[in-house]
Amino acid sequence: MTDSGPARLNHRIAHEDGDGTVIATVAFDGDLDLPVVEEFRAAVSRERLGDAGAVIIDLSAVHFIDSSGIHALVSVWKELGDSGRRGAIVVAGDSNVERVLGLTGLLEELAPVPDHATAVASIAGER
Amino acid sequence: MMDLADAPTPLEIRLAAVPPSVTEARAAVARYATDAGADAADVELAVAEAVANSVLHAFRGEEAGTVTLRATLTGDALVVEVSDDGSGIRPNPEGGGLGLGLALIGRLTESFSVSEPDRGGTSLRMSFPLDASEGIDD
Repeated sequence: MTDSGPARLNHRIAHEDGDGTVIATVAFDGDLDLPVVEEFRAAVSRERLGDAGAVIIDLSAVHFIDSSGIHALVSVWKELGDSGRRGAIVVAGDSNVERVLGLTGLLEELAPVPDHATAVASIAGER
Repeated sequence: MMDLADAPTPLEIRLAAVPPSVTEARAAVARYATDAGADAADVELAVAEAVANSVLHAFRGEEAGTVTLRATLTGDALVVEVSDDGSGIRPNPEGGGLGLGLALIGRLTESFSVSEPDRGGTSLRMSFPLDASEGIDD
């Protein structure tokens, strides 16, 4: 039997002022599959987001996502909405993540944007 | 169509039915698919879904068993089988998933079938076209 290698998903959190609203950007780098879905959820947990009024989930450096990752993303997205936070998801165009969102029929619901600047503008436009 | 004399050696690996095996299985099959001339992205994602199904559903309430991944060429297709020695196909009301796994596999494969072999467990057999240019489009 083969030993399994470590799962790979890194993230960093940055906060910025978006015209009076604290925007937390959680940027992920790596693969979002079953072994790391709890890491993903923890990274966007209430405790980690602090008093941010808006959240950007940046998946532009995520190279692989499967249905476990999609389920975690949708779950987190709904929780953010339920908590009253605005949000945006960044997905690179023509990426694996965009393709899987398309295959699962979630592109319209999650409405990802291609970069951070567009995400900030999108959040500002929701006010 | 690939000459079978040039085909990569069939792949067979056995993994513990635990989450990290999803990552290992898809990495191994992606390399094999690339060598075989199949669409590695399609094969990798489908295998991730298949192995995750075994990990999440085949051993509920039991000690985790084994997932076996086999990949081979038939001349015009890459055939991948993911089998486990679990308790067979059962609905999981606590699964909490979106039910996307098998739907994705259906979108990514030329054909697939699920069976419960006499030896027990579940076997998922998937077929992919060999010419990557004929991969499944969005």
